Amino acid sequence: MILIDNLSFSYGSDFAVELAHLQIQSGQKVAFVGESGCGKTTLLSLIAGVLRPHKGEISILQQKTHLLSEKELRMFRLQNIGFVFQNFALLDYLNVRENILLPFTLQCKKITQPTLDRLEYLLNAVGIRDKIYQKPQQLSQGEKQRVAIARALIHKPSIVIADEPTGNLDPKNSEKIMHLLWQEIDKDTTFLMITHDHSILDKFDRTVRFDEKGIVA
Amino acid sequence: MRSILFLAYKYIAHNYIKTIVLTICLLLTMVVPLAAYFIIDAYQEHLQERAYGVTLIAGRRGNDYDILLRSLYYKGAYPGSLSMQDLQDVEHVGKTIPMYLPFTGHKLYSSQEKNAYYDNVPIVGTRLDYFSLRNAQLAQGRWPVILGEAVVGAQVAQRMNIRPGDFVLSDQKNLYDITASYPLKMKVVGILRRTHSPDDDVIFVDIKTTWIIEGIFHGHDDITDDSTSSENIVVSKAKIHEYPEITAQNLHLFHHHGQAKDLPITAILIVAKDHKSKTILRGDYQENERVTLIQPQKVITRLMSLVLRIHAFFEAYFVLVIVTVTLFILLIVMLSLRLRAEEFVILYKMGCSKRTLHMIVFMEFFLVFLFSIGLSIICVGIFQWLVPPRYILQIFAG
Repeated sequence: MILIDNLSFSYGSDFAVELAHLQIQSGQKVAFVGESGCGKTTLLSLIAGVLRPHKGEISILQQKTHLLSEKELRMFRLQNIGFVFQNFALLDYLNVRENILLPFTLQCKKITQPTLDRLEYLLNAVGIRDKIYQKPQQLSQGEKQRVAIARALIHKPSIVIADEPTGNLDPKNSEKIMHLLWQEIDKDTTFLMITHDHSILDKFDRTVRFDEKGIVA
Repeated sequence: MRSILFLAYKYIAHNYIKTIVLTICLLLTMVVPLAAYFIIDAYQEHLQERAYGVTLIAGRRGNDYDILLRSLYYKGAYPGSLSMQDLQDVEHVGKTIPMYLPFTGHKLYSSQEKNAYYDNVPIVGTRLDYFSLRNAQLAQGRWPVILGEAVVGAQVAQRMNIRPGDFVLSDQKNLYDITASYPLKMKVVGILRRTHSPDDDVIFVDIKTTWIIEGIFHGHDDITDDSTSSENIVVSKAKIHEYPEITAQNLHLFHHHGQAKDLPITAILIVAKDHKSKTILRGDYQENERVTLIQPQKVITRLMSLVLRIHAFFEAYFVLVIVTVTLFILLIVMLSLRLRAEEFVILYKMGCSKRTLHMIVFMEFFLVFLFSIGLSIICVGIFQWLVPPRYILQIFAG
């Protein structure tokens, strides 16, 4: 469960995210909508622990993440959160396999047989089994996003955060990617996604809207 | 650490052109000073090894460096002459070897030989005990036993394609001096084994042969024209040689008119029998205005201090180059960090610490640096292996 109370964060004096209360149950699929620059990405960064709130409390999986040290927060992020970015964010010097296994590399974890089985499953699931040793520049946009999804899911995170995962894709590919996400994200995994595509909102359990002032409605 | 190494390696392997350019920059920055150090070191070693075993060198008072360079390396300006009397004066100290070194020579090529290589090769007039001192050995032929016979160094033999039985000619000192002696034709009877020393680059003859080249020892040709001479009339014919040659038939005719003690020599290599004899001899010659005794090791040290002073200047220059390259690398790092900012943000978001990110960048440069050092060592090793010091010295020291 994600629990946010009296949250406040600002970049200088120009922009602020203020949130009195937000509770997201485990396994909920939540869409974040609102105009560009209204604070959606900032809120998800605060939830992920990339940014620290100036005021308020954030509790994720019964851990008060705003109280964790930098190192503890990093480890928490590595173990519990999977990211899917709009621009795919693949490392161009790693091949598909290495990109997917990056969360394990960053944790200095040994690649075990269950991990390899999971990798094999995800490669087949996202349909890039034959591209395993290719570099990102050899892949199409859709394929890159598939790799990014596999990377976000490889370590079975409790929360998946997707920041406009279909923003750079054509409608056909967007549909495929969304289908893939619904298919592969477990029912126990909390899924937080920023989107501008209002046609898919009915698939989510809940929608969080932002107004112009950056205050959650 | 393993993941840092893995990511750093993957990055430099992927951006291999950038890696190669950076490696070459670092390689050149490191190899040039290393090669300079190696050359200076080889030069010092090369200079010093010629002086081993020679306690003192007697020469004409003047420039110590000229005496040293001429008597041990057959290079440099002619330092002036001593006489055989000077040799007699120092003989009591131990082993003494006279050297007479004003001449040069070249191979007498046959008309069939193409690509003939003419060079002024120093002619070293000495005695057979010089070869014992230097522990020189013959690769072909025999030692010279009569006047007009020569043995040549391995490098000269190779360069000029000289074999035992060939002839070498002394060079005429002054082409337009018609009173000067003719060049002497000398028979090569032996080739020395290669020693990688200046002895490879010279022609050795007995010291008396050099006096013949000088014209001090000479023969008298019979210029009587028997066909036209009668009992009371002697007719002389014009008998002009291109060059004289010493043969078994005319050997007995060679003589000189002065006294043996006045015959010229350039230097005397002295191997003192003990330290006391050496010290006394040095004391005896301290005030001598004509003859000087130099201690070769000390003169070499003095000479090297000059070279090393120049080397110190180069070292300062290389330090500046290294500082410049380091600044350039810093600039590259800063630009690279700016270009990769997005990548680092992603890694940070995923859970990578800022310290780890710094470590990855450091590791990338460390690997390139390590690779450059490895290559530098290999390059210097190959340089040292392929080019023996003497060739380096020929290129750099002349």
